[in-house]
Amino acid sequence: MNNWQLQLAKAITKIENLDFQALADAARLPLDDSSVHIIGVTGPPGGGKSTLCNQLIQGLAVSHKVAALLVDPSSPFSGGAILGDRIRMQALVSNPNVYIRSLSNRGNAGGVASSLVSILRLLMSYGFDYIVIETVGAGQSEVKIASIADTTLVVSVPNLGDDIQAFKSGILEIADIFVINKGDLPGADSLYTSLRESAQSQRQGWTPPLCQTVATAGLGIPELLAEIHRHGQWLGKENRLVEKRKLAAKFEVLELSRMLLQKHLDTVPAEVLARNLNRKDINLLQKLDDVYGELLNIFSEV
Amino acid sequence: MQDKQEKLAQWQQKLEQGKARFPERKAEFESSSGIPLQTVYTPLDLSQTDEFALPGEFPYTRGVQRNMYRGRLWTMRQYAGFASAQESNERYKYLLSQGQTGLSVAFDLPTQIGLDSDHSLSEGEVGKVGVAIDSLADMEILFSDIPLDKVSTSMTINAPAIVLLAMYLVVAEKQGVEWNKLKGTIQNDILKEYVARGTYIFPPEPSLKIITDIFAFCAENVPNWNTISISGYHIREAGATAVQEVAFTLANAICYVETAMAAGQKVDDFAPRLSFFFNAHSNLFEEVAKFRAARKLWAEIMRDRFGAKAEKSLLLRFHTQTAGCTLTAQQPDNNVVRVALQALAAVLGGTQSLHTNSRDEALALPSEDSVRIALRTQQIIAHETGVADVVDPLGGSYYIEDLTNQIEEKVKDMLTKIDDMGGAVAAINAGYIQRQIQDSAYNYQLGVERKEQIIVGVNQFTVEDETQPDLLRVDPAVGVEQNQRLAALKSQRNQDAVNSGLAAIRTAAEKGDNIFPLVLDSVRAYASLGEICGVLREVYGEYQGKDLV
Amino acid sequence: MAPIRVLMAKPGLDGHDRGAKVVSRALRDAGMEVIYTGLRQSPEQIVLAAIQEDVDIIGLSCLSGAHNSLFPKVVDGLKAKGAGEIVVFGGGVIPEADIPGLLASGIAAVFTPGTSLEEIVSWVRKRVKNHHE
Repeated sequence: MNNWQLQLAKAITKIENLDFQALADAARLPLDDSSVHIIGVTGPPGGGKSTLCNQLIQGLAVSHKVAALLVDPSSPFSGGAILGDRIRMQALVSNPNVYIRSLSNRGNAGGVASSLVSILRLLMSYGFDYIVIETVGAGQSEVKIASIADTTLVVSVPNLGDDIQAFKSGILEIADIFVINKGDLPGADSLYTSLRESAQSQRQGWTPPLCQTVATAGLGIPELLAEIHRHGQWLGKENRLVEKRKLAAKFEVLELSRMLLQKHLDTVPAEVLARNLNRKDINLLQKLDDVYGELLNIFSEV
Repeated sequence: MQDKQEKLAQWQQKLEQGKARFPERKAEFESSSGIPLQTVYTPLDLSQTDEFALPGEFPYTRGVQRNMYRGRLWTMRQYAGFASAQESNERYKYLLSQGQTGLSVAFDLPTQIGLDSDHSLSEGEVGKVGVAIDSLADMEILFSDIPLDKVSTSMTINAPAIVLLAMYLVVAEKQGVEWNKLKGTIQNDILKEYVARGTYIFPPEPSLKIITDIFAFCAENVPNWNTISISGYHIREAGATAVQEVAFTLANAICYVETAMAAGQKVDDFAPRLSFFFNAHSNLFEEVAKFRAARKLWAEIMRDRFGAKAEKSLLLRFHTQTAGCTLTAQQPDNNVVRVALQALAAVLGGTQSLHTNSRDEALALPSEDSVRIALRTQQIIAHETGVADVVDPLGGSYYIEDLTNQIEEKVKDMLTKIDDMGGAVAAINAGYIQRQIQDSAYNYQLGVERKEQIIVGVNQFTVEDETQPDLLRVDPAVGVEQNQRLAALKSQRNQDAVNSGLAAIRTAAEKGDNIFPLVLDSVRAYASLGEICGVLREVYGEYQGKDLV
Repeated sequence: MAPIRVLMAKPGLDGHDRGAKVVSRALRDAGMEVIYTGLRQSPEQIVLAAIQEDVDIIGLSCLSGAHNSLFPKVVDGLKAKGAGEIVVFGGGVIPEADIPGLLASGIAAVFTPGTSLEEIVSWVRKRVKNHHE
């Protein structure tokens, strides 16, 4: 029963470690599977994101196969990391419909790992219906999740001190759904009022709803799931999902190019690399299905 | 004054000259809480506002009674319990025959988190760190031939405290002992479980509700019972400094008082039954100062913040245990010395009762020989050293008084910070207290690695080829036997009475009524601990660990 | 260089996690990725988490005396699920007399109180390196 999990887990590790072959293999997997819904969950620390994700996954896993990627920052000093989000989800570990993986962002300032999209391709090939990505951070860093996820949840709690302050740096704009978690705490009403303004502004035809939850008690979760579903349906129309996934693919190509360049610049003289790149007449953003493989070839030839 | 300052300045000059030639052992000296230490303390360090302080008088820095141990020595209370109720009962009777003056019951982990011995998670744990109690039947055996009106009993039980106390009350009933004759303590301090000890069941809100149920029931029916022992002990064991130990304990205590008052109880009705539990570490003077500062802080908090009027509400009475985390597995006999010094700190600090650890506890549960030495250590301090003959003998020491003031100030700062975060529960939910404790634990360990902190026998003065002493082994058959007993009980009892009792608990819990009387009824019908806690789990939910690293 | 991935777990019911957390921090500060699973983990939960996380090594901490029944179950569970190559080490209040039995059951090392962090870190590094070669 765990054989596929064992395989999947090992494949993810190879991608994380920027193993050439694994990246090339992943690059050949499609990212445009519209039956998969990628849900990003972000917001400032202390907002109960893990508890909320736990509830969401529990709800989704009743009738679907769900993968969760829990991204935590690495230590700037050692490069190591303590990945503790699993603690709140250990009850899900024996659910055969659920696969949970903790990832370090490996120094990437984006709040997500560079190889995340390659991992998404891999997960899609394993037939997951939902992929939940939890990222931590407060401010600019979590903006990148919005380029990767189909539906981005921005989670906030009352009385985090300067809660609204934490939302000023671009995070309000990325929300497809606002979640006020711990909605039973005093201060929830004022947070609701201050978020409502942002929530009501339409973006490209979608008005982000404002959901209230008490994740520890499971309150508001069915309503939140309904909103996620509604956003998924909306994305399904007018080619919106395809556009979203293109965004993710761009992120993948750019991030990985950067990482791979970094990895190789130490070993390969810059002029050799530049010559190889020039030889290839590639258009990164249009040939999404194989361009990434091309890029890998450039490095392989070095 | 002028004179003294000049004299000190000259002295310091000479000191510096001397240091230039013969450098000191360290560049800086500090207490374990990071309080910088001077070379010497003088009358100039005594706080200007120091009143003419006396023991037994506000703010009780010098002790909660006027004559302290000249009247009655502290209660020597060794925490014990293992395997079956039968074996623990025999250990208790042995300890009482050896001159111990109070019982302290250790429960095994399944009992502490409200699981019966036959639960799948209980496997391997039954009877390991304490006695296994599944029902009133076990409790009857645990206290058989021990007259409950003659001993005081402390029970280290938290999340399911209401059930174990109910069992104790029913055992007393059956012995014909009136509840108002009962003396003892339940730990019942759930907040520190979330940050340090880990044996929680329910989330904070319902847990606090159960605690106030106990306060209310006991105020009326078991008036001499200490309904909570607010514990810094485990916070310190988890790595906190002395200052953090006091600060986080008092923050939790404040939360309990606020909760009970918010439930409509009058502060002077329940506050006299609040008691505390601290750790005694090896930094002797800092520990003594810590106990003194804690007493003063609590008296002021109760009077000024909560408006307590009754003198008994102001008194911080506490139990002390020597520091388990300072015991070494290496050269374990050295632990006898550590324990003696730590116990001395507790006595000099004015403790009301004391547990001394056994030398082999870094290796296993203590053997009978080791427990006896630990108890003898207390008896030597009490009867041979003379330290119990004068109240607060270190009072007036320039150093101790200054350290007491410094600890007090630092604790106040931390309490303000926790208040600003919205109190203890908010600080725990935000992970603040856990993180503070872990930072201290890690820094301490790094200090040990760098040999800034010497641990004799561990990172210096080691020996090759250590031989391990004989250790107590818990018979693995305990689990099996316990399960058989439970199965037998379940087949014999009146199941209808159990069912209706459990249903009544559920209804009361859902309605928010005081569940204590209904827990008593179920206990009388021999409902098991796991069954009662199971109903409460369904109503209240379970706490999800929030421990960050 | 791929970081070493470690799962730190507390099997059994005891809540004393000071050691597990201090060791977790030390491993992080040595550049490893440490997945911490929290208290009260059954051997089965530990095995499944280790597989999902594709860790190189599992650290088990137990202070309640239940190590003899719990630690070997993790090793057996890994083998049963085809992940027997994951190294398992343990620590806590463990009498010396129990150590040979634990080693025989497949626990790679047992660290008792007083072990330095340095010792644990370098052991993990060496063990995982040997393992990868």
